[in-house]
Amino acid sequence: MVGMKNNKFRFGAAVCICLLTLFITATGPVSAKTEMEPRLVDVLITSNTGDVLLYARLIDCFREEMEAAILAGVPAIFTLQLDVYQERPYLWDKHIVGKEIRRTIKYDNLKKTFLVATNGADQPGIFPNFESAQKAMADLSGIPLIPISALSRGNNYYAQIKVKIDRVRLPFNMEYVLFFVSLWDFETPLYKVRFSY
Amino acid sequence: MKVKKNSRKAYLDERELKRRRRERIIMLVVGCLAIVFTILASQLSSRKELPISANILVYGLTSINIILILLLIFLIVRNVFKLFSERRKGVIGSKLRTKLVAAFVGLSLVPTILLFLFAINFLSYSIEFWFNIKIGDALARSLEVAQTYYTQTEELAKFNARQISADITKNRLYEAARADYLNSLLSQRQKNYKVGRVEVYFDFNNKSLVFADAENALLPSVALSPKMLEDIYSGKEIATVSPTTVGDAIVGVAPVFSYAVGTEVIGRVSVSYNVPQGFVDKLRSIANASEQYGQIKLLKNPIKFNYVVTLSIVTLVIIFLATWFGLSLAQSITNPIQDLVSATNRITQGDLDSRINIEADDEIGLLVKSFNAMTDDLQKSKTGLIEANISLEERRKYMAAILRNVSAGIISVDKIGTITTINRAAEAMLEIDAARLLSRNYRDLLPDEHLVMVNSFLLEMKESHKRVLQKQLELTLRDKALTILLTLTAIEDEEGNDSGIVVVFEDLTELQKAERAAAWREVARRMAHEIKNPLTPVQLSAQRLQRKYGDKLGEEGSVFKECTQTIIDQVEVLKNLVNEFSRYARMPVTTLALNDLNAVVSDAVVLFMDAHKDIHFEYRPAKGLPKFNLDAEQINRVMINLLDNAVASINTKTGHIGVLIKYDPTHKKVTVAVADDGAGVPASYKRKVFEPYFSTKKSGTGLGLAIVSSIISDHKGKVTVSDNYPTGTIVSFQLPVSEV
Repeated sequence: MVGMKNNKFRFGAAVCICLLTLFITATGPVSAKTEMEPRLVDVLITSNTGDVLLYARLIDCFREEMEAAILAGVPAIFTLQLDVYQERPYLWDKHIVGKEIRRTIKYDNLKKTFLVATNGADQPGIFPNFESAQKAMADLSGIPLIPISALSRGNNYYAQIKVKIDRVRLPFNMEYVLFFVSLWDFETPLYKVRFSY
Repeated sequence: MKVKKNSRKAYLDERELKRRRRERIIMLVVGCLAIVFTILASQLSSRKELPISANILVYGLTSINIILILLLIFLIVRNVFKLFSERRKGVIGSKLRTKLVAAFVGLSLVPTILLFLFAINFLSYSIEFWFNIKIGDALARSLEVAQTYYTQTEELAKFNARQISADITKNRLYEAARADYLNSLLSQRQKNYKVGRVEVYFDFNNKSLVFADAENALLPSVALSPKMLEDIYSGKEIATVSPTTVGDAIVGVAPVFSYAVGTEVIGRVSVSYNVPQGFVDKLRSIANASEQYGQIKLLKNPIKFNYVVTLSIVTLVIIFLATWFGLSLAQSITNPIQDLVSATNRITQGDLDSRINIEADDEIGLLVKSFNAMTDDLQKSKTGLIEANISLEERRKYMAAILRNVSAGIISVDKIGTITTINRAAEAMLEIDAARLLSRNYRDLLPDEHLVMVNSFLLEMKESHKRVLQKQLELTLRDKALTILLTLTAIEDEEGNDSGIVVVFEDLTELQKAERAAAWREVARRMAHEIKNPLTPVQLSAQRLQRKYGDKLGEEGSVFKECTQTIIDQVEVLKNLVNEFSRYARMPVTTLALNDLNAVVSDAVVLFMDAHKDIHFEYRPAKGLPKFNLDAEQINRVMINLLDNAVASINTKTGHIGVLIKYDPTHKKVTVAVADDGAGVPASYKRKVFEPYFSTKKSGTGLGLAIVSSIISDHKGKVTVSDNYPTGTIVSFQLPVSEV
């Protein structure tokens, strides 16, 4: 009887260690759980004559260590993932369009300016201070989702929106070495906004 | 120590095998979890810079490393706890194992820890040293110089723009009429200030006046962002740097105020200084270097931490591997020792079949081989001993059976007089209980008279240097008289030392009786024959004389008659005596036939009852006594003789005579006892009563009991005489109950 209890204890200990390991490693490099949770607010779908437009703001997306890294010249890339689906009552929803918009912020230590580029544009926006650059990074205004011509009248649609920060690119690919030192790597929850045409 | 795999399995008990199997399963499960986790954890993003496989690989290796290290820690710690637990319980081999493991861990721990600490310190010092080198300062200073160049150029541009704006406002050069003056001013200032480009813009005419040097003439105007325009039209000066095809343009913009309304901004002046591309590149390289240095400096602590973690992991792995190695080596040494100890315990408890199945080519293997050989020898010795014991036991039993069944009584004593053997014949003969007498000294048991006799025999043997002494004794035991042929034999061992004495008793009583009876019978026959013949003529002659001269002698003839009558009477007596003798000498042949003993005895008892009414006769026949072979006439004669003796022994007129018949169906024997309460027979006479011509009666031939003994002997029975209590005699005869 005592031997059986010892065996169970050992097995339980082994399982606990495995789960602990899983937990530790899962919480390590996969995603950085931080106190601040970035999120999208003021999400609005509207349109102009030609396109369906998205308006939103990203808040709590800059943390201290991220700011320090940006000021040290490390570029930060926000990737906005957009998907538009058509709702269908009896079938699975139809995926209409999917796109990614990448916005990069980089500090120019020579000119002491911040460059904010969208999708690698040749002419990035230049901001004299970090606050204005942050605002520019977080401002998702007037982003075209889908041309109106791609929609069909009388249908319901919804857009799924998510923003994630890509893994920081450290010099000498150090991000692969510092597996426990994850500066950021986060993403917002997936937002779903309905609209009709 | 090389231990073969199959031997290892042989001495690993079932539990140990199960435990190792379980550990392997755990490792397998953990490995699978690591793979599953890797798949879950890897970010399958469309990363263009690096392939996905690298990410997965890195995550995979990381996860597996962590999990395996933790597993190793778990297994090691578990084994260490088990070791301490075994030591507390006192399991064989645990102390040695603890010492070995402690030695291994100690030997590995000290240098490993030292090396770890040294490496960490060295690493920290080196990293701090690298980051303390004034490169950082130099880069920062260089960057500052580059930044200062830009800043100062921006200030200069703004200053010049301010000056031009002030001149325009003061002289109202924005009016159309003074356009020429404006152009002249701008051109002059452009040349004097060595500005790359001067541009003036007025809101009311929506066009720019541009004065530039040859390099900047074809460059487009710098686009101002709405924020910049807002600042300008709010009266602020701004500066901006924008890249051009030939380098960087540092632009300073100042608002142009109205002369009439000093705060109203009616235009703006832009002064651009061009930084050549080559210079820009140099400045950029300084900035890049400083940026990289800053990034690496940012990572200083994480890098240090990473190295510490890596070194710690390596240190732990070394320590745990050393512990594991120590445990394995200790087990490989102590397991055979444990087996040896448990095998020794089993052998102690009698299991000589146990062997240790370990094949090794070192001293342990030698020890095991020696142990197994010793056990083989022990087993053979034990088997031999058992066989020898069995043989000895069989011989002892055989000797005991011989002793038990031999008709002669045998008593042996050792050299100090302790009785060591009494066989059954001796017990029966001497009426003793062997169990009470064995292991006691004969000197404590013999009566004084017998002890004196024995001592005399021993003395005689000693003086005559004889090893064997034979004596015929007449022994009286309670109510039995025996004639014993005693043979004393001194026993010597192989070295000739005295080992004791063996006394053999042969009962000659019956033999003597028979010999005497036969002798007496022969004598009786001859005497009968020799004496009987002259008796008749003597008797006849006396009768003739009496008839012839009895009446002729008158008064003196009475003497004559008396004498002749005496002669006739005594001759008659002699004749009767001779006839008895003759009858004794010629005993009739026993004719056996099925008869009822109860009836035969009853007939005799009834006769005596009638004849002796003063005596109380008690007759108890046997119940369930079947008819058996006997000569009824002779048994009747026996009963008459016995009853006659009983009556004769009762002195008083009244007495008691009991006749008891007892049947023993188990042994198929019947015993008839005639008991009287008369005078009894003295002990010394008891052996003689069955001899012819021995009688205690005043008038008796002395042949009665001799005849009884002869008849009973012919019936294959036996007759005994014993004392009755309180007085009297019991004469018993025993007959076998057999049928034809």
